[in-house]
Amino acid sequence: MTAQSMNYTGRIDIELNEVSATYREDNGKCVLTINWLLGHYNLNKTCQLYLSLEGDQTSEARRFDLGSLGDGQGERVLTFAQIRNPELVKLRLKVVETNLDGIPLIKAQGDKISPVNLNADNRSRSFLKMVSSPDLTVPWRVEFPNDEPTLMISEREELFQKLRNKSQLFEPLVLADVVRQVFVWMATSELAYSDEILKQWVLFFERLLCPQGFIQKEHSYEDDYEDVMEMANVVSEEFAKKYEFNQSISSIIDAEEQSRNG
Amino acid sequence: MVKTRDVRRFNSKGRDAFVTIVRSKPSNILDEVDKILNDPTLTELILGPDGKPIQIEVVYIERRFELAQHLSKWFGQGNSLSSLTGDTYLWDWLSAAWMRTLVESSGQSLEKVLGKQQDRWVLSNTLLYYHRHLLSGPFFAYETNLPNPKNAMCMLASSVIAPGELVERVAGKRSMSIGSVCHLATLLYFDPVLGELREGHTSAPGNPKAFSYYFSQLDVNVDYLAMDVDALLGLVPSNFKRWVDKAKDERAKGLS
Repeated sequence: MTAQSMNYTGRIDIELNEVSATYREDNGKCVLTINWLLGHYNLNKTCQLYLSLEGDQTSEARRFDLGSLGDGQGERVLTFAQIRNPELVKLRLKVVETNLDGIPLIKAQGDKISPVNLNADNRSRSFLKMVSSPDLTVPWRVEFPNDEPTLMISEREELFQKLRNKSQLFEPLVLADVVRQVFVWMATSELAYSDEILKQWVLFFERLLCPQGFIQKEHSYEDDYEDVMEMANVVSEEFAKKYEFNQSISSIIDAEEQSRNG
Repeated sequence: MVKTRDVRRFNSKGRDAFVTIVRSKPSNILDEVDKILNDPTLTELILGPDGKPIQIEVVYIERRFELAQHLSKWFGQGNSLSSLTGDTYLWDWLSAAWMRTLVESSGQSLEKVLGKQQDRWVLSNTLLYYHRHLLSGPFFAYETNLPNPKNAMCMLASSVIAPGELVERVAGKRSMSIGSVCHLATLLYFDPVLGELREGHTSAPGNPKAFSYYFSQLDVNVDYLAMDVDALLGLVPSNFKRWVDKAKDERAKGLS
């Protein structure tokens, strides 16, 4: 068990729809735009806004002073020369007020904000992130950087582009097992289930016959292994049925055969 | 012994070959690594703006601080390799290039220098482990704390081959590895007179584990990165008293 952190000052958790972040790659640079709509929290106008960014494979942790909160609405555009894998960048927006003892208290924060890639198609906006990995020696793998399920796809032999953008077979072949792996990880790890991305995963599983509260219940990998695996299979199978993966795969192969035979 | 080498980087096949060697740890590992270092099918030469190879001095340096200083001559802002600090294949080639030197000059056994984790030699993709790389770890700790890298002695005072628990606790969390909180860890656990980590710093109370837990809790409600180090020194709880007293005394004497 790791130590639980307590929010003893009642810090506000900013909702996902109150902060939006996008990025685009422009001449090798990453242009990040962040918007916030926090006026309804009635926080003091003199509070300061800070943005921190973590994520590329250097140890750089960048922090930006976005100025005072004012009326609670705003936008900033930041340009970065070097971010190796912007899909994995996480942002944390803090609204800070210094109290009478000189302690800068975080009055509100939005954490683990994933900027949306404006250069990519809509698939990258789903809550399963697909990221290219130059070092991956298997075609794909599910990883959990910063407690976020991520489908890593090898960049070797341009596999990322080929599988993600050109292969109709890829998603029906792998997604059911991706879902199964994410389920096992979520049900057996100690996680902040209030995190927006994880909330979406929980809802997703619950729509696929997982009982409410099953994921959040404390499971140990050893003692509850069979229960978790069984439920993971149920969810994965329901998902595959819902999207008719078997039929899709069969049809794609038939179509390929027909086109080969002229 | 200084060995000057033309800087290369692994290609994907070279990186795979290096990973396999590090994982399998053959008894002749140093020879195996030497074989792939200059293999043109597994590596590529890095050329400077003048079209000539960039040369680097592969030299045994015991402490992380001096190794970081040494690497800064190439990777520091405006220097020949500064645009490649995010190149994992370059860092892996460098750790391969340094492997023989670290093993043969450290006076430690091959097994100890190699260690159990491949992340010491192969730069991890995972944020949780990337700091374990023996070459890039010290450099990034140094670089991100410029212009005052000595504020990061908590991450730089230990030996290259045995970074230790304090490095793991501080460098393992990015928000602790920069700015005033990193400086605070240095004030608490680094003896500026002896130039080394304080004796007994890993034992409770007030050890690096407690430090990490305390700041993880504080991080929920306090923007500690906005506080200066003296304010933080006044904020840490009484279980750190033995270190806080020393740190305050040294600050008063102008030693840190």
